[in-house]
Amino acid sequence: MQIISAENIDFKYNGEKAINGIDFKINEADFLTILGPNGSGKSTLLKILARINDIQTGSLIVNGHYIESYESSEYAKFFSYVPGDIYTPYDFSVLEIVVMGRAPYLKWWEDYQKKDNLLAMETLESMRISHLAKRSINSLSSGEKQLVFIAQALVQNPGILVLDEPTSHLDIKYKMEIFGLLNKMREEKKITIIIASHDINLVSLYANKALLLNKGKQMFFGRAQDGLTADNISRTYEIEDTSKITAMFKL
Amino acid sequence: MKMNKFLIALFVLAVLFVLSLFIGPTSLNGFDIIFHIRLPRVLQAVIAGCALSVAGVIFQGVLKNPLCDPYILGTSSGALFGAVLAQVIGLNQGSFFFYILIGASALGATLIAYNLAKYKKQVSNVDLILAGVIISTFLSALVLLFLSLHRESALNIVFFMMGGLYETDKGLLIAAAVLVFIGIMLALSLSRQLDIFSLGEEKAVHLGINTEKYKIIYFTIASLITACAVSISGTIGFVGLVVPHMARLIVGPSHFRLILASAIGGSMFLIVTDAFARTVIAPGEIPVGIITALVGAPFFLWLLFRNRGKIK
Amino acid sequence: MRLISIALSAFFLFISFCNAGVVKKNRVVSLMPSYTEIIYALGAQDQLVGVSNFCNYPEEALTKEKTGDYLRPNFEKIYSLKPDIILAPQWKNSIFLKNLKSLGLNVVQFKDESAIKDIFRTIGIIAVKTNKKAQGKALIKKLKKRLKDISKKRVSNKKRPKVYIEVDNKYWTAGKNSFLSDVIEKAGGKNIFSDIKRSYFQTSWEAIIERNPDIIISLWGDAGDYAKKPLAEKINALANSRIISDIERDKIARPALRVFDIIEELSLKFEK
Repeated sequence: MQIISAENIDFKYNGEKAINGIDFKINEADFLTILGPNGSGKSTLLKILARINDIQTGSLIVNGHYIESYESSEYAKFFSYVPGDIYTPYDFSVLEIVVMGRAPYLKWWEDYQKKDNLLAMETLESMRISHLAKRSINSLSSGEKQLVFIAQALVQNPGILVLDEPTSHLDIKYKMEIFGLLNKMREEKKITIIIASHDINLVSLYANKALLLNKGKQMFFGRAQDGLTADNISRTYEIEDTSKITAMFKL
Repeated sequence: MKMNKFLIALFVLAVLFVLSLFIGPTSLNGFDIIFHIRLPRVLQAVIAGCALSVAGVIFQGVLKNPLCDPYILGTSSGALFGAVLAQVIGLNQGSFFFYILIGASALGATLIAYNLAKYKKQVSNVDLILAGVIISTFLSALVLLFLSLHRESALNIVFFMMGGLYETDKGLLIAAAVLVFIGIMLALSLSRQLDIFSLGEEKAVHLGINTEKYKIIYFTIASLITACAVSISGTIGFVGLVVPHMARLIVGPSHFRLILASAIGGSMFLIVTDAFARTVIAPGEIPVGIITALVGAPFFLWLLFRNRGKIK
Repeated sequence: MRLISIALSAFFLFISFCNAGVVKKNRVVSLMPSYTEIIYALGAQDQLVGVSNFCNYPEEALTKEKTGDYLRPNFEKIYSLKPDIILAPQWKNSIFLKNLKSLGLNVVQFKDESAIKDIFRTIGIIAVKTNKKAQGKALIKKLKKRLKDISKKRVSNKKRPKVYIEVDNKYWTAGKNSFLSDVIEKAGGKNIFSDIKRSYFQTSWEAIIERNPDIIISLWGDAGDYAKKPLAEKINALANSRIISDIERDKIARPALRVFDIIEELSLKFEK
C-alpha cells in the first residue's frame, strides 16, 4: 500500500532552489535510503516531510492525505523524526526523554500516565538499553544518546520513521545495532523507514529503495539494487574514479 | 516521595516568613507594626520572588538558554523608562497609576522586542535575544538622556533600578498577587510542554506541538508576572537568573518540579535578603537589589565554575 | 639736572595715579549657585563673567554667560571667558582641577558646606577674592546677629520639636553631617536622625514611626502622600497635621543667604 507519494517537489530558500522536481512513491514497510553529497537537498527534503518546512510546489501525499491537511498532533502520531544530533542543555533522564515521545497522544492539560511510562520502558527493553533508564542524557555516549532518541521516536508509534544521518558519528557497533533495529521495526511492525545516510555499505545491506540527489536534482529513484551501483554513486557524488567505489563498497 | 521535599521546603518558607515579620530596623514589635508594615513587605518579597524566579525558569526553558533572566526581552529597561516617563508627565510618585505605568511599560517593551524578532510568523531564539538587547539599549539611552538633563532625579532612578520593597498601594499588591498566582498555575499546567521545548523547537514540532502558539503563551505569562514584580518592587536583579539554577541542581530539570522549587526558592531568597537590606545599616536602608546582586553574583560564579565543561 | 628729576618724578607720580584710578577689573566665574548668590549679596556682580547652568537667583544671574554645571563644567567656555578666578566646589574628580590649572587658570576651591557656619567661611573667602572685604565682614555680622535673635526668641524651657525632613522620594533624609540637619537645629528643631553620623541617606517608614516626629518637612511631595501610609496616625506630625511642604528646595538647601529667611520662617512654625 502506498504510503508516500511525492510529485514534482520544488523548494526555494530565499529565492534559490534547494530541490528541484523530486518525484518518488514508496510503500508501507519500505526501507528508503536518500543519498547525496552535502548540500544536495537531503535535509531540505526531510524537513518538508517532517513539516518543518512548508511545502511550496508539487504534491506530497502521506498515508492517503495531503501533507498540509494534517493537524500537528495528528501527523505526529504517524510520522516521527530522528535528527542526527540533538543538543540537550538540561540533564533529563533517559526515561524522561523517551516518554516525551507520547506527547502527541496527550491533551494539553494531561500528564504522562502509567501506560505511557510503561510503553517507554518496554521500548527501552526491546532495544536492550533499559539499564540506562535512570541515567542523565548528558552522561551517555553519542551512540547511546542516538538510541535514546530513536526510542523516543518509536514510542510515538509511528507508521513512518525518518532518520537524518543517525550513524555518522558512531562506531561500528552502534552503526550495526541501529540498522539492525530499524530493519526489525520494519519487519515486525511494518514501519516505513526513510534514512539519509553516508554509510553506503550498511545502507546497501538493508535498503530496498534508493533516492539519489545531487544539487537538488533527482539523479535516481527506484530499487536499491538498481540504484546503488558504482556508476550512479560516482555520478551523484561527482567522483571521477568509479573503480575505487566498486572496491570500497563492494557493489 | 518527591512531595516530601516540597512539603519540607514549604515548611521552611513558612518559618522564614514568620521569623522575618519580627525582624526590622527598629525595636518595635507590636501587632501594629507587624501587621501594617512588615507583613505587606514580606508578602511583596514572596510575590516578587516567586514571579521573577518562575519567569526565569520559563525564559530559560523556551529559549533553551540557562543564562536567561526575566529581563532578557527588555522588561527592566521598559520599567525604567516607565518610571522616567511618569516623572516627565508629572505623575505623582506612589500613586496607583504610577505603578500601572511602570508595569505597562515593562510589558510594552517586551511586546516590541517580540514583534521586532518576528519574521513571517516565526520567532527565532537568537533574534529574540538580540531584539531584547536592542530594546534595552535604546530605552536605557533614553533614560540616561533624561537623567543628563535632570540630574536631581538621578538618585531616584538609580535606586529604582536596584529595586526595593517599599510601601505600595494595597490594591495593587493584591492585584499583583492574584496575577502572579494565576501565571504560575498556568505555567505549571503547561510545564510538560516546556520540557519538550528544551529539546529544541524542531523536536517540539516533530512531537506535534504548535511551537509558535506556545511561545506566545509562555512569553505572555513570563512577561506578565515579571511586569507585576517590577511594578511593585523595581528591577531586582539576579533572582530570576540564579534561583532557577539552584532549583535545577536540587530537583532536576523537569519543569513541573522546577517551577514549584523556583517559586519557593525565590520567595525564600527575597525574604532573607530583604531582612538584611532593612536591618544591616538601620535606620538606613539598602535597596534589596544590591543585596541580591552582591550575594547572587559570587554564587552564580561558583555555579558556573562547578558546571564548567558540562554545558557546551 | 634738577629740572629733569622733577619732571621724571612728576611723570612717575602721574603714571601711578593713573594706575591707581584704573583698577584692573576682576573677572570671576562662579560654578555653584550658592557662590553666585553670595556674590550678588556682596555687590560684586559686575565682576561676574560666567555662572553655572543652575545659577538662577537672583534673576539677573540668568543673563550671565553659562559655563555648564558643576558636575561637568565646560572647559572651553570657561577658558574663553578669561577668568581671573574660578570659584569651584570640592570636586570628587580631581581631573577637573588639573585640567583647569593646566589651562593656566586660577581655581579657588571651597569645601562643601555641611553647617551654617561654613557659609560664613565661604562668604569671607569670596569677599577677599572680589575685593569686598568690608562688605563681607558686614554681611557676616548681620547674619550672625540674625541667628542670635532667632535663638533668643525661642522659649528656652520649651522642648525642641522633633523634625523629620524628607529630601526625596523613598525616605531620603538628612543625618548629623548634613547641611539640612544644621538648618533644623538653628531653627530650633531637633532632627530625628541627628544621632546618625551620615550626611544624606535612605531610611525606612518603620524607623520614622519609631522616632515619631512632631513635624515633617517634605521637600518633594505633599501631605497627602504620608496620610496614605500604614500606621500614619501613630505619628505626631500626621495626627496634628504639622507637615511643611511649601519650602522651595533652592532656598533651604543652598548654603547662601536665603536659607536664613527659611530658618526664621521655620523657627516661627516650630514655635506653634
